[in-house]
Amino acid sequence: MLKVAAIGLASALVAMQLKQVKTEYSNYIALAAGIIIFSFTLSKLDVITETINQIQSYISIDSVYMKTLVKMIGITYLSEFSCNICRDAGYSSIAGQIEIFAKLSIMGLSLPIILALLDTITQFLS
Amino acid sequence: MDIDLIFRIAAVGILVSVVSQVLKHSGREELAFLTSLAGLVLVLFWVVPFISELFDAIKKMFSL
Repeated sequence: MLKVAAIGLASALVAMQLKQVKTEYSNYIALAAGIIIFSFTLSKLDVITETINQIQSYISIDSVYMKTLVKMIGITYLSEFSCNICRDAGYSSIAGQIEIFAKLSIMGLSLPIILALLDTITQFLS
Repeated sequence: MDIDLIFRIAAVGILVSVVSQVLKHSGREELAFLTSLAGLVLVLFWVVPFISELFDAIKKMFSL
């Protein structure tokens, strides 16, 4: 944790310094810092996905639901990362587009699950 | 891979800004532009493989 905080802080300070001299380099530094910090979160995410699979093996949940859950997490993380980089660069319109697309793709992912839910409900009722 | 990437980018940024200032004052505008372009290409050359590695990791991790 200490390493991540130190890297984030150092890159923020360096980027701040470069903002007056050359603005585009501060965006590059922010991008590089984001990538480096993500490589640290990757190891943590490995543990999380392992436990999710373990939980799934204990409880007999259909694997489709777990897969879409993990996919949703991935989509949100990716769109969040790219949205913030675009906002840092000052182009919040592009960030808005990415966000809208991410929300729609998540909705698209969840549609079959909603249908399955409605099917089970209609079976109960009829 | 670690923090040195950030310091390298910072170094390139400072170097390019100094060189372009010098070139601007000595009257050669287009050279200043070319040096900043070269700095941009160099930084992109370092950062782009990391970006592709990041996106591959995300794709593999979340089976997108």
